[in-house]
Amino acid sequence: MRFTMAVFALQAVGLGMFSFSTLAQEPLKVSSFSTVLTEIAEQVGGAKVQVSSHVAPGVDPHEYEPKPGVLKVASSADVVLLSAKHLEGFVGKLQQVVGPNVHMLAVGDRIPSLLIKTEAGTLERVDDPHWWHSVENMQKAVRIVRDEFSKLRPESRSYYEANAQKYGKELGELKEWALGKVAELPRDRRKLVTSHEAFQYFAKEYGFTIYSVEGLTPSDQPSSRKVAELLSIIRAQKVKAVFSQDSANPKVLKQITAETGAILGPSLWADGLGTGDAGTYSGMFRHNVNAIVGGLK
Amino acid sequence: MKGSPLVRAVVVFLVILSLGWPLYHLSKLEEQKVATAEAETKQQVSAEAQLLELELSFTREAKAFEIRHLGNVVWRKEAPGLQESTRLPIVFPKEGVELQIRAELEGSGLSAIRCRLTTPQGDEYERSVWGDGNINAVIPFP
Repeated sequence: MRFTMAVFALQAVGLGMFSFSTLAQEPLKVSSFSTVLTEIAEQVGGAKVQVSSHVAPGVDPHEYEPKPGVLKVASSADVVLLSAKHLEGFVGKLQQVVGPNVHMLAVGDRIPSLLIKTEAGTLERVDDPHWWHSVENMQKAVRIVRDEFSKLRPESRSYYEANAQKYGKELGELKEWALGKVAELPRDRRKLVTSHEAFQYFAKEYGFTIYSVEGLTPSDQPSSRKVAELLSIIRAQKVKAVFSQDSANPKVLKQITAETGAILGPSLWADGLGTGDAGTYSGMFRHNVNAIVGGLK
Repeated sequence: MKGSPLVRAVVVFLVILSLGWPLYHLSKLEEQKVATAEAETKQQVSAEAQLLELELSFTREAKAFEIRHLGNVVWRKEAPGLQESTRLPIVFPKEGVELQIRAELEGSGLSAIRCRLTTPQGDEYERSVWGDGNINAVIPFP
């Protein structure tokens, strides 16, 4: 009898260990609502994560709404990655659907904010959600994602750390390149006129002053007073180029170029990764820096 | 000399005029040359006054070192000494300048370069950059 009990106990322990090791080898299921965070998750998680990316490159995340199929995928994830800082207006609904067992990692909320006006003429300010336009913020986001993955899969900690270190180094080299590129531009020409206010973090890191046509989202419409103010600034500061962006209507910018003589520079990727060469963070960032420096030289 | 005094007077006047014109022209050219030379000297003095003085200290010997301003190489030296100084032909605007430095260093390990910049107005700025291996950095002044 004792022998039989011992055999059963050993079998139970063995089965438990087998299940545990199987579970440990399963990739971490990550559900991402940001193109930038999808790249971070893939770089840090490598072969030990399975990332479902829900927002396609070039899609305006300000207007994005998840469909039922997406909510179902998110419900079965181990962790949901959110850009945060109020960018995802659907977060309350998402939290309700996925329930308490899925961890929602609001990456942007752990990164210091710059404030942005909600509407022209008002004093109300909210956190600017476009934190990824600072490479330093990207490096912070990499560490946040690395720590979360390590918490969920402690046995893979060293793997995530090595990947995060490698990707962080690449980001450091990207920042070094960007500083060198921006240094080609005299400081008094670092005036960035864009469609909507998405480049504050970039401006702070690389010494630009921002003048935007629209407000927080590309759908905000500028008042005629604001357009007149911009025309006056562009003439007075002798701004050579103004920039549209992926998800904005360049109509007002075209009017501005016609009246000031400034050129309409290449379109910038403002709300996440783009397509083609801009389909990676490095590609997107290099595109923006080259476009801005080339236009304002 | 025969003839009407009026005719003689006219002839004398024409002779004087024919001699005077080239003399006037020559003296004017001389004045212009002097003015140009003075302007050139003034420009030279002014350009000298605009030069930025840069003193560099390296903690490790470098194989090559260069400074770029607005994307252009303004100073380059192969195998510079541990202490170097140079004058850079850069205008220092009120917004300040950024110098991009690239140093290819001997050996490996952490090293630093100290840069002391003096503007024509006498303002001094000191910055240090650190790097592991080669150094490639943009230094803002101020």
